[in-house]
Amino acid sequence: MERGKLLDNSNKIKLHADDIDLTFGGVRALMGVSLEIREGEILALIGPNGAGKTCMINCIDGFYRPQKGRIYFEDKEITHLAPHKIAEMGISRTFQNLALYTGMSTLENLMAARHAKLKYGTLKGAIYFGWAHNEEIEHRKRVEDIIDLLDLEPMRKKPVGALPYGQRKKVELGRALALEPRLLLLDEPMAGMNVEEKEDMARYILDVHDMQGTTILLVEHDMGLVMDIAERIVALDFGQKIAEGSPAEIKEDEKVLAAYLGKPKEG
Amino acid sequence: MNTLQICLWGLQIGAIYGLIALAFVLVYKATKVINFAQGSIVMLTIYLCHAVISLGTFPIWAGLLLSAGVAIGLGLAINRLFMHPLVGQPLIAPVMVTIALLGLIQGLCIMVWGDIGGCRNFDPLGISAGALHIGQIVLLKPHTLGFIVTLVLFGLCALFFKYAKLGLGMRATAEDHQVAKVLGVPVMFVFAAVWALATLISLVAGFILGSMNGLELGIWQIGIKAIAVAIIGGLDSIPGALIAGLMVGVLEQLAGAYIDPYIGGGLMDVFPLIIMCIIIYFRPYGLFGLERIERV
Amino acid sequence: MGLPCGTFNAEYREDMAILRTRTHWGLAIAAIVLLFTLPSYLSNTWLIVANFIGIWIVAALGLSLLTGYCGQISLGQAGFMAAGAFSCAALVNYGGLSYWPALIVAAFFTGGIGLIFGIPSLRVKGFYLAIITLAAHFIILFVILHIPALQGTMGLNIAPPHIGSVTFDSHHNFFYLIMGVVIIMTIITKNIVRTKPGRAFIAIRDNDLAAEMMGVDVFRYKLIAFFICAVYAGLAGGLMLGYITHAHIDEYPFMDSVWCLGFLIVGGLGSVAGTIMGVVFLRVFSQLTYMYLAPLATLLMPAGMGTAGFGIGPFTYGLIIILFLIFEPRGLYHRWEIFKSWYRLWPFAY
Repeated sequence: MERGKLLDNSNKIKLHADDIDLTFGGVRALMGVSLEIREGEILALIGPNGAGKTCMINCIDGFYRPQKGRIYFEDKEITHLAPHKIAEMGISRTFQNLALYTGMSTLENLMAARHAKLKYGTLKGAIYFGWAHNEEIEHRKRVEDIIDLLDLEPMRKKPVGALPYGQRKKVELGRALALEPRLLLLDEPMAGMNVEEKEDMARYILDVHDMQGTTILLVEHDMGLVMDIAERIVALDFGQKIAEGSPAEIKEDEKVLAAYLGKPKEG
Repeated sequence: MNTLQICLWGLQIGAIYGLIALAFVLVYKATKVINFAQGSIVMLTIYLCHAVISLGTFPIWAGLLLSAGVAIGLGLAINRLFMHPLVGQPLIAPVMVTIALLGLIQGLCIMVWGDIGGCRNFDPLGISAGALHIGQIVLLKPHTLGFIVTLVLFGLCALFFKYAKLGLGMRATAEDHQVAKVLGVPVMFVFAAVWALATLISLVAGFILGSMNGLELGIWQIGIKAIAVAIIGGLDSIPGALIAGLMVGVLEQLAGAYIDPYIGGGLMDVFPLIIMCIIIYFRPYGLFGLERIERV
Repeated sequence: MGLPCGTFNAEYREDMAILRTRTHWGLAIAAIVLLFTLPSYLSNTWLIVANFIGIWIVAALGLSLLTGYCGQISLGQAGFMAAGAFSCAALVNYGGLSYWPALIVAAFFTGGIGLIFGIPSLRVKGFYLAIITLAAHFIILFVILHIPALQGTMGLNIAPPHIGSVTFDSHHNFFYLIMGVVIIMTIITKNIVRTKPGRAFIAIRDNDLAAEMMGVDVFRYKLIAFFICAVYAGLAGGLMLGYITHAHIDEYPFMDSVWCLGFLIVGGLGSVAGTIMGVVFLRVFSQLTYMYLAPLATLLMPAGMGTAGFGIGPFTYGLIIILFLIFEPRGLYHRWEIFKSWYRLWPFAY
């Protein structure tokens, strides 16, 4: 699918978070943050450490319950849904610190993410032959497509616990994709990688975006990459939204500069 | 029997539960290992104590000191032989070891001292039969001694953890092994110390239990109740262990006195477990446990 | 997983098969034939051991799903077996059912009890849950003791089960029945773990938070694991009842729950084949202990009265489990894998 085609519905709003407040005990992690993610865009969420970026992602996918505010996904409210329900609706994510199923192989990790897509239940699984078998094969094909896309073939049957860090990050992206997300939340997918791996990862993210038209919310610290990939950027600092706009606008934004570099001394 | 009497007995029994739970909580706090073998360890220490005392004719205080030494040695041995090789492994491994130890120690006791069904007299202090009469109320001597000793031990523990350097080190170790080690706390030494302390406390508890009822090979089952008490108290809370112990003791005695006649007895054995199941459902971290925020 | 040289998977169907080549099929059939002719080689003593191994395999497979795959440690398997045995006996004695339907109903009834003790998994996890299952064992036995109709102190008797004119009243006959059940349950377990529910279990074990966010209804699947585990235990308890034609709470001591967990550790957590290896290894070992070590212990230990023989069993069991935890935490199954990969390349070790 061409990028031009996606621009047609670029005004449609995929996810809308309205006035989110999140507190832990006395700590206010998010204060009245509102966020809109448009259909088919790559939105980057930036900010210094502790700005509340991961908290925002955790609120969207239901892991944290915001004390105030509502979140709508495709015009349906998801604020109080259980995380697995939200995942079933088509929101998938990767984790800042890897959260793979270390005991399973790459292939099984991806198949495990197909969980919500598989129709058969436990009983049919126990009988296996017939329904379960056929469905497994059908879904295996989809998973193999993702393995193909991310060049994961060599480690298909290796337990992910034994893979190097960069590969695990890739497997995690693959697992998120196996859910066939309509909104993909990427929490620092390039953290701790070297330049080459980062470029590869950026390529994969763009591939996914271009080929499947997936809407992506990206949290990342590498400003150069963010400016390259993202179509729009939202900047957070101390739990508040301080700026929103195109990469060019954010680059010039005084509040963002102040948040990252400190305030210039007056006088 | 009046209710006040029952409650007082409950407090005294509960103090013993609290004491065993204290040994359990100490190990858990420092090493994060749930020691399922706690009851067996109580049994083994007291049988060892019995063996030491009946070795020869030396004064009682020497026998007790010697038994304490043996108990500490036992704790150090358990730590060195079974826990030490598993430091750094997933937590499930040392916990499984304690579960296996539960059987191993029972087997050992049966082999060495087993006369199944038999009960040995154990009364080195000569208090088993004694009782104090305060007005209408009867307090048995070993129970009362246990209650006082428990309170003293809990007090000492509280002071130890608040002021002693080793105590502070144990608290640091409980928070995070690696950080504690980097900051200069001798983590391995702390582990050994905690196990030694736990077996020593087990010995005291076992000593009082033995003075109450004599020695028999079912003593280990009190460990199950102690685990329930520790969970109710919140696993990592020392005052929690005491309060939960007293609470469970009283409730158990009341249940034994007022409900048992209607259902045919035996409720006292499972009552702490039932209380635990209910409390754990409403307060997953126990009554005084520290709640941890989950992160990804 | 390696394939024999020159064999390649060209289709997903082939990749997913357990028995892939003709050699595999041949070996599997040979193993089954060997298994079913076993009674003709075994003495009566070892036939009894084999029957108990079969019963424990069923129970251990269930526990393997809950503990090995789903990561929820359970210390109540013997309690659930008792529930299965007594409910089956009650259904036969008071419900007027014959043994077979009673066995099925009892298994699912036990599953229901498992569900009750699985409910706290909504709020608590890890070792807290293990302690709840420990409580489950004692609470179940307490309830059994206090239902007058179950005669907990006396026990309930049933007649040996039969199909048509074949009565399963000898060790020999019962062997075929048990091994049939074991094979069916093994296949079912294997199917569960290689499909959707199995992956959900492993996901919960390895990272329950991630599992929840990747679309697995964690609570639901924990309950399913508890249910299946208890159904297996109920089935094992029912078989035990059918075998010894007697249900008594002394048959289900707490230590049996512990040993059931020991089977998994020795065999290897999270592996069906390992579970079976663990049960066979420990039960055969305990029989050998009973035959050879116990008399020795009785001679050496001063306790007199011949009780040392009773102690040596738990002692060696505990010791073996600890040794496995320290030296081979992945269990016998891991050894078997190493052997297989060595054999595949033999005699060219590179």
